[in-house]
Amino acid sequence: MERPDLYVLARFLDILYQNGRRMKKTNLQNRVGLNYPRFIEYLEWMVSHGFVERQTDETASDLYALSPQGIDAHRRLVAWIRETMEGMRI
Amino acid sequence: MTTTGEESGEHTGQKLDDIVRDADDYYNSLRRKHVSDTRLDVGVVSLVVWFASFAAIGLSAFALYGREIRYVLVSFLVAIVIAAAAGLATYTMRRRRGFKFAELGVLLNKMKQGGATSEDGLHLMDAVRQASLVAKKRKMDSAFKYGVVAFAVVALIGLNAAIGALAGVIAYLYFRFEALREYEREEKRYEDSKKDLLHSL
Repeated sequence: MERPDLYVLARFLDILYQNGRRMKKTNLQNRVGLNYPRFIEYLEWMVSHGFVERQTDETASDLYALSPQGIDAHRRLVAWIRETMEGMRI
Repeated sequence: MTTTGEESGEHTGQKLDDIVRDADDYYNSLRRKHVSDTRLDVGVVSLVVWFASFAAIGLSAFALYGREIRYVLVSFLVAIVIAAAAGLATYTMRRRRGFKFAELGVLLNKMKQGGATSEDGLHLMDAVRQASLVAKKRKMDSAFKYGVVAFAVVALIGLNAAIGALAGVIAYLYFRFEALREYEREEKRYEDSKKDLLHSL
């Protein structure tokens, strides 16, 4: 994926951030609302960039949680929104 | 989440609330400005149309039916009716334009009711951007007004309509250029900062 959509990234970060716990792939996909191939594409992108950590539970199923880098990305995204909105005033 | 994570979470949540509050202030100031601009436009248009109608009808009546005082009264009353209609039309047009801010209001209400997320923040940012584009469009309209004022002032002082027209065109082009340059600068700044954010993530 060359240039991910900022809205989709924000949705991933919001859901994992607000949930606060590890999530199953199906649960995460339902909350994000993307079709499966697109969801996997984004999930892999987020894992490869270190925003999301993949873990395995006792039943050997994959679980996903926000990494410290992901939490920082969420914080920076919110800070950027605020700064950009301040620059938009007329 | 650890204590540091919780603190960071509270901080981020606070920032999101601040974004909603700032956008709400901005929306309210836009609404107030829109109302005062509408009043001013309605007043100016009504006055100009009243004067033009009064002069045109009065002078025509004098030319056609002779100099009688009752024609002045009739022209005065007819001009008031025409000016009221022009004012009403201006008000209706301005109101329709004001609805462009409605999306921002709806989004703000939704965010105030539920917890704000960063995705909502991005949508809100887009809505604020759209609203500021409408405000920039008004600056372009102002360029036309400045042009008309420059024409009137120079034509009256110089007693020359051609020089007045030239001054009006120059003033219009200058203020339009400035408004466009400001708009393009802001667009570039927004796109650049978006690219920077995506690269830095």
